[in-house]
Order: sequence, then structure tokens, then C-alpha cells
Amino acid sequence: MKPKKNFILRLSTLVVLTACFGAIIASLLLAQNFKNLLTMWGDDVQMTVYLSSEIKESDLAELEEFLKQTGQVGLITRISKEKAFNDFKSQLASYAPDLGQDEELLKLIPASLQVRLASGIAPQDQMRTLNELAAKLKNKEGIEDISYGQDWIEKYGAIVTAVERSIEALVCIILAAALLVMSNAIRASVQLRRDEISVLEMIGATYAYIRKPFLKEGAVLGGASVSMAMVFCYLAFVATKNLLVTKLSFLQLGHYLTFISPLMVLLLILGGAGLGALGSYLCVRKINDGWSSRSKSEA
Amino acid sequence: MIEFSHVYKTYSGPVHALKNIDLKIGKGEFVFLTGPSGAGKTTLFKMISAFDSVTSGNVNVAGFNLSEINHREIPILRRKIGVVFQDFKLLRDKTLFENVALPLQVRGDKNVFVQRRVHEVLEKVGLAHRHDQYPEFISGGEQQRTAIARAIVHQPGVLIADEPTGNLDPRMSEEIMDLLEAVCAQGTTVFVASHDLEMVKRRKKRTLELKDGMIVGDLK
Repeated sequence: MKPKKNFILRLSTLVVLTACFGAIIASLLLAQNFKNLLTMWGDDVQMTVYLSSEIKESDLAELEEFLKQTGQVGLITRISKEKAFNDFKSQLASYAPDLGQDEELLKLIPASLQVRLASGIAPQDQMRTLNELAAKLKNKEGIEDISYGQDWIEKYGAIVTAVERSIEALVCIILAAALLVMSNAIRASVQLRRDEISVLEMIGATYAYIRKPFLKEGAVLGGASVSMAMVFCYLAFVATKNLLVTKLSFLQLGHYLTFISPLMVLLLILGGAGLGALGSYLCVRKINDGWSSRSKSEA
Repeated sequence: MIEFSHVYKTYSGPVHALKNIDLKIGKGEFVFLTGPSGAGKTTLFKMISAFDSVTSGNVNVAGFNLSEINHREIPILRRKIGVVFQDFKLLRDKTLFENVALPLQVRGDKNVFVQRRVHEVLEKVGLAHRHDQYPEFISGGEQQRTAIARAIVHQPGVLIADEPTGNLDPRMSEEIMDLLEAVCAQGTTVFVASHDLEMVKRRKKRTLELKDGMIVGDLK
């Protein structure tokens, strides 16, 4: 029976690395889905341009054309006085049923343009864009007022920036910790194989020949850890999504959650393998105490 | 085959490990190196296998001047040397066959040749029937014979053995020394460090005595 060489160490290294990579993947997943949710909420950001009752059709068309040419807006929807009145009526029907009979009210409710921002505008830039648009529209003919929920958007932009920065910092911290843990784990593994290294040196193995199995082992360890972490994160993701779609469906968040793209999965596995190989390379270079250290001391 | 001229080795301290070593060992010669612990035997062996450098003087081994050798040439030198240790230094996760095959694989020999040569050498040391065993499941004497097989499989010009019988009982020790003499008879220079003065005397070979880093006797 073949003796199990450093089985416990290898297993513990694999577990530690899987945990580290799991934390990194979870952070990426969190960041990505948070961004999805922000984009979803960002889609609701719109500007209402209230029109004066005297505005002509030609002026309205000109206004729409002007908005389109700015390149900052997406969908523009015309809301007539009648539609606005009907919407208002239906919203308040249960609270004030007689309101719908008040014909004078129709005269007070203005027609408007609902202007959505272009989809490419980042959440943190939405406030600035809306301010710019409002400034441009302020002196246009036929506009009575402009409203775009300034307070809400300002807070929303601040939250987006704060959360994005926090996630970036978290990923950096976890990545640094993972590198440290991985480097120590691989170093311990290499230390246990010093005898093997000295035997290989003794029989005339070149430096490249000695390093090769360690690099291979590091790459396999890194790749396997990322793959395992990916599987665990995927299972956790599916469970969370199921929860949001079923028991927490009132939050309406489930459909916006996405897993990391296949290309990103592949890149992460390759990255893990590369990182493992690099860690091994650095460790083997340091522990070699044979002719390489001799040539170093002579240099 | 091995030549030391005015070799000094000083470690920081300063500790003078070797002092003015002059020696010449010819091709196919069998030489014992004796001396108390700390006399410098291991340092001398480390220099022969280029695991340590000289502080001053010249060392020539198998046609290489070790004072001028560069790190790329060291593996090539080592492929011309076989080394046997007291603690065998076999890789425990490899079979006897795989351990013995290592020096041939390292120099890139073809698989067919490796198979044939390893079986031939295992036959020579009497372990052909145990080729698929792992080192920890065989006796100390068998482990040392495997180590010798590994040291001679690539037909080195020089075989150095540092206390090869230090961990073995007297009967096993005699077997190992017989094996080393047989290797020498094939034309390999054999240089053996040993504490066992009785055994050294019985073998009636050239004996160098090292004391405090100096050669104090050369009995031919």
C-alpha cells in the first residue's frame, strides 16, 4: 500500500484555501448582485417636466427632440392632463370617491413629460445628470416646473458610493488575507518535502526539474480550491435565490440575482491555479538549501 | 578522480572545518575515511558533491574544478557521483523501483532503458523481487541496498558513502561493504566514511584519518 504523504497537511491546506477563495467569490457575488439591485433601483430614477397649458404641439416636439439630443435621456413618455387626472383618480379612489367628479381639478393638473435617464449612466452620476438637465430645461418655453426627487436621489447616490467603496475594501482585505494564508500553507507543504528536494539535488536534478512538481502541486491545489469554493458559493447562491423567490418574494429581489458569468468562473479557476503555482515557486526558491544557496552566497 | 590541494574550509565563527587538505584518489580506488565526530568528514564529502564550497584551495572531482564550477554545471557533476547516506534518504512514497529509477529519469533516459537498467541493478543488490515495495516496509539492510542501487544505477565514476553501515547490525554491515567492494571492482572510485575501525581494519583498504580538519594518517 502506498504511504499517504502529508495527507492531513494537504487536506487542511485545501480546506483553508477553499475558505479563502470562497470568501473572495462570495464578495464578488455580493458586489455584482448589489450592483444589479442598484441598477434596478436606478431605473426608477426619472424626471417629471410639468408643461404649461399653453404649450403648442410644435414646442412639445421640439422639447422632446432637445432632450433626445442631450444623449442623457432614455425613454420619454407624454402624460396628458386627462391621463394624469385619471391616474390621480384611480390612486385616490378609495380615499376620496367624490374627487373624480370634481371637473375643476382637471384644470389644475398639468400635462407632463416623464423623462427616464439613459441606461448607461452610473447611479452615482444620476444626480449630477439630472441637475444638468434641469438647468438646461429651466429657460425653455412651455415648462412650468421640473421635479426629480432631488433629496432621494442625493441619498441614493451617497449610499451607492459608500457601499461600492466598502465592498472594494472588503475584497482587498480578504484577498490579502487569502494570499498570506495560501503562501503559508504552501510553504508548510514544501518544508515537509525538504528531504525530497535534497535527494533530487543529490542525484543531479536541475533546478527546473526540482521545481516542476511543486509548481504543479501548487497549481492543482489553487485550481481545486477555487473550483470547490465555486461549487459551495453556487449552492449557497441557489439556496438564497430560492428563498427570495419563495418565502421572501414580497421583496421582489429574486429575479435580479445572477451568478458569476462562465467566463469569470474560468478566469477565477485559472487565476487560482496561477496563484498556487506562484506561491509554490516563491516557497521552493526560498527553502532550497543546496547548491542554489551556495551560488547565491557566492554571487 | 578526486583531488584536493591545499583546501581550507572556514565557517563563520570562525570555525576551521578543514585545514590544508591534500589528497588524491585514483580511478577504481577504494578508500576509507575515518575520524571522530566533528573531524570534518561530512564537510569533505559535501565538497566532493558540491554541496559546499572551499574557502581556499582547489578541488577536482570527475574532471570538474569545483572552485570554478558554475551552478549550471553542478547537476552535471552530480550525475557522475553516487551518494549513500547513513539514513538512506529514500523517498517513502515511491517504490524501490521508482527510487532507483530517479537518477536515470533526472537525466532524461528513455523509459525502456530505465526499466532494463533498474531491474539489472536491483538484481545485483538482491532486491529484484521487492521492486514494487515501499521503503518503510523493508528492513534497514534492504533500504541501504536500495540506496546503493540508486547511487550506482547511472554508473557514476565516484561513489561516496557517509557512514553507510551506521544504522545496521554487523551482519548487514558486512553485506553492504561487500556490495561496495563489488561496485569498486567494476571500476568505480569508492570513498567511504566510517566510525567502525574494526571493520575498516578487516577490509585492508587505503584509509585516510581525519582529525580536527586535518589529514593525520594515510594508510595504504
